[in-house]
Order: sequence, then C-alpha cells, then structure tokens
Amino acid sequence: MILSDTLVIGLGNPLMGDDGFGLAVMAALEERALPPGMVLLDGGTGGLSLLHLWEGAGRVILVDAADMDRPAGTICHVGRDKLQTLAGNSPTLSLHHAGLAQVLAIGRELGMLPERLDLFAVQAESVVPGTGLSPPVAAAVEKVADSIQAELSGLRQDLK
Amino acid sequence: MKIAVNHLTRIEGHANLVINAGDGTLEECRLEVVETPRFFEAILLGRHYSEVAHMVARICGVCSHSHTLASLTATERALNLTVSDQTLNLRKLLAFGEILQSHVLHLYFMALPDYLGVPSLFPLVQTHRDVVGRALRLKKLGNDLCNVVGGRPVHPVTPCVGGFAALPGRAELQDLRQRLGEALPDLEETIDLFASLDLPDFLRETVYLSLIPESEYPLLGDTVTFSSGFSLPVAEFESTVSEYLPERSTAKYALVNRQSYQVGPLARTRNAFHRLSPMARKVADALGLTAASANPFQNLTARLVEVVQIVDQSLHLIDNLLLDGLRQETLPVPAGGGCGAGAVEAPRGLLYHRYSYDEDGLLTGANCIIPTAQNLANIEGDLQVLIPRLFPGPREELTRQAEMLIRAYDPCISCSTHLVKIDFV
Repeated sequence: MILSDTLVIGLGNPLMGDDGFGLAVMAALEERALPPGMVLLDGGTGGLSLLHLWEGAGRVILVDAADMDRPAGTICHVGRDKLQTLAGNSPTLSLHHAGLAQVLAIGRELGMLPERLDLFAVQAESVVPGTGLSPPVAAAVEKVADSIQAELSGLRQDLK
Repeated sequence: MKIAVNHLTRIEGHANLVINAGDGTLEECRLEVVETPRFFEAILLGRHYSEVAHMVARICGVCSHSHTLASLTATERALNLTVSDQTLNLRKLLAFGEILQSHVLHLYFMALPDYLGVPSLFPLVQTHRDVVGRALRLKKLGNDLCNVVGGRPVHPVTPCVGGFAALPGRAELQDLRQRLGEALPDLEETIDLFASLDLPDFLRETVYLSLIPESEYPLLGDTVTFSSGFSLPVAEFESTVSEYLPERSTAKYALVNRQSYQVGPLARTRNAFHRLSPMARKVADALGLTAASANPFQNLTARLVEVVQIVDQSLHLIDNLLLDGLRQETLPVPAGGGCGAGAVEAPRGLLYHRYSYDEDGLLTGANCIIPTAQNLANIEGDLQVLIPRLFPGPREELTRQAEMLIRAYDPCISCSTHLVKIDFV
C-alpha cells in the first residue's frame, strides 16, 4: 500500500492513556531529520490492516506500549526472532482489533512479514480512557525516538 | 445444567455467556459484557468542533470511519452547516470501504471457522490457504478504498467538518475502479463458498431498525425506520430509545417501547430489500435471503449480499465522481453553537452521535449509541428461544449454536486498545 522500503509504524490509541505511546514517538520523530525515503505511519488500532500497511517494505520498525511485567517506562527492543515467538500466543482471540501477536502469527503463516522487523516497546503504567501519557512512559518517548534514529542511521551506513 | 463460556472467542472485545437450565426449562440466559467501561464522551468535553471527529475516529479501529462520519454529521447539524453532493458522495465511498473490509473480516475470519468445524482462522491458514488469501485480498480492497478517500487505511484524516481537507486523485480513483472490477472473480468464489454452508434453521421475528434514505439503500440519512411501520427523524431517535445499564454489564443496552430490536445487515435488507442493486438482489435470491427473512443467523447472508451491493455501488459512484470531476471546496465556518444529531449505517448497524456546542464552538455535551448496544437485548431474546429448542441435546451442541448465534451479530464490544503481552523467558 505504501511504497517505501523502510517504515516506522506507531501503534496504539491516544484516547487510552499510555496506549498512545506509539503515536507520541511518531510525533517526536516528525521533528527530526531522518534518512530520505523513510516513512512514518500512524497504525492506530487497525489490527490486521498492518499486513497491508507494511506490504512491500523490507524493513519495518514498530513502536507500541506493551505489558511486559517490567517497571513502567522500561524500554525493550524486540527483534524479529522474539516477535515470531510472540506470534504463538492466544491464537483464538479476537481478530478485529487483532493484537500484534495475532497479526504476526497470520503474517508468518502467509509469508507476509517484512524481512527486517523490530519492535520498540515500552512498559505501560496506565491504559485507561483519557489522553496523555503517565510520567515514566512520557519520559521514554525521546529515548525511543533517539534509538530509532540511531537504528536508521546505522541502516543508512549499511547501505553505503 | 449450567454452562458458562468465559471470553467468547471470535467476537470483538470481551463478553461471557451464562446459561442456567433446570429440568428441560431455561432458568437464566445472559450475556455478560466485561469490557472496561468507556468514557470517550467525557474526553470530548471542551474540545473544539474541528477536533472532535478526529478524536472519535480513535474509539474503534474497525469502525473508525463510521464514527467519523456520524460525528461530522452531528457537528454539522449542531452548527447548522450543509455539505455538497460531492462531499456526500465521497463520504459514501468511505463508508463502503469500511463496511467492505469489516464484512469480509467477519465472514471469513469470525464466522467461517464455525461452519468448517475449526476453532479459529489459524487451521485454515494451513488447510485453506487460497481461502485466506482471497479474504485478505477483498479486505485490502476495502482498506484501499478508505485510504484513497480518507487519507489513511484506518483513522481517516481528510474528512472534516463541512467537507474534505484533501481530495483523492483521478488516477487513484481510476485504479480503484479497475481493482473493484477485478475483484468480481473473488466475489463469485466467496458466494459459492457461503452458498455451500448450512445455516441453523431458526426463526424469531423482531423489530428491525435502520436508516432509510429517500431512495437509496440505507447508509447515510436523516430518517430512522422501524419494520413495525413507523419512522422518525434522527433528531428524535435518542428520546425514543431507552438505554439502560444492567448490573452484569458495563455496556448500555437499548430498547424501543420496552421491546428489543435488531440493527445491522439483516435489519437493512429487511427494511430496504427492494433497494438492493440488481446484482445484489440476484445473490440474495441465490442464497435464499428474502424481504421477510427472520433467521438471525442470516445476518451472515445479508452481510455477503451487502458486500456485493457495495462493490456494485462503489463502481457506479466512482464512475460518477470521475465524470463530474472533483473540485476543492471552501470549507464553511460556523457562526455560534447549537445542538445536533447524526447517524450512519456502520457495518454492525445504526450508529448515532449527538453533540452540543457553545458559542465558541467548544463541545459541551455528547452521547453516542453504538450498534452492538442496540443488539444486546435482542441477542438475549434470541437465545431464550433458541436454547430450549436444543434441549435435551448435548451440551457441546447447545454451546456451539449459542456462540454461533452471538457471532452472527458480529458484536463489537471494543476497548479500542490492543496492548501486547510479552512474556520474557
């Protein structure tokens, strides 16, 4: 759907507290100088639409809030291999708002996962109706934007 | 006998089903909606009218376009703004895209596993790869319709109060038109597949409620019609419907004249069967759907007939848009505040928003009545008739049919979040 080799996709719902983290990182990245040809996308809570969103992209970085049983604001960089194992969780849950795990599972089975796939996840503190991030999660926004910028710069060097 | 199904699968959101049966009699049957209550209406308070639709688009990832369209219509009614035919046509195309992708998702991924005897979509990925591929192609077509008109596949950005902030390009519309035509073989295969399924034989007449435009199939409009024979303006809908919150539920239920009623695909085909396009009508005939169908399981059939209707109507709509040419319009600026209501036919049925704004255009009050809330009481009414008919059959069959019935309505009890659970081992 989007013709670009590298996508950064923010996921989540800004009306549900810390679930708005992914979109907050997208907003932070929009202010920065990023390598040309790289596209920032708001994936929202589109579920399976993700499979169409990243179609044709070789490299995808996802940004999302997560529940990892870690202190609030903890940042984790999850690589493709780990994401593939997530795909095995709860395969029968709803698919409308398919959780990332279900989307990854279907994508894996159908060969629709990007060749390079990473997730930057932050441990949420509070996911309840309301706008704005909790202080520990808000503090992680610029850090994750830094990490993604570094990743993408590395990518550009790789291509040289 | 007590049956408790915790976390019904293949529905949107979280709900439990509890059935308590004595000696051949049904003592209790209830749907427990356990989703976190939502306070989106409160989040909107104090927001400027120009922000409201973009915020409500976040209520749901599946129905974000329907919420946007209901919201824009309510705001425009409140602020006394009218929109052009071009805007109305583009909004229809956007609504078609959303219904198409939502219906395809339900037919293939939520409902089909029941009829093929598998617990979920996942075994089908292995055994029916072509079927899953076809489902994703059709769903993508719906997504692309939304993307071209709304500027994004989900949570649209171009629709705004009074019109559109940006218009689709001619080449994009031509490409969509071509792809809609190319989807016909996939549609034919879909019809063949669903024609081969046996729906449970169950009839329960109820009241069917939908919008009824002047001459078209229900989608946008200002009049609500009841199959029982009366119609009323959307502006009077809220005062006619009684919403209540059962102790067991965090979702509001709705009744009209103390009676449950049905909204959604079957309600629309019941109220406007004669307005189906010739192609959709032919499919309805082939699948045994009539203007009098009263089997709630036939929501599935009605959903498929609507998919055909939408592809057919989208082709005509795009032709007309290309013929007329699109022109960027000046967006109207409202003077003063006011109150107003708007409704659209969302994939699951009539979706209603009502707002009030002060003189500065800031929101002072909001209400939203969603399709699933309107169907909950009717689903319970169906179950109370269906379950005793299955006595004294095996418990598994009873549970299976009860779950299939609930799914036939494609309930959406969404929390609009999708927090991923990661266990580090």
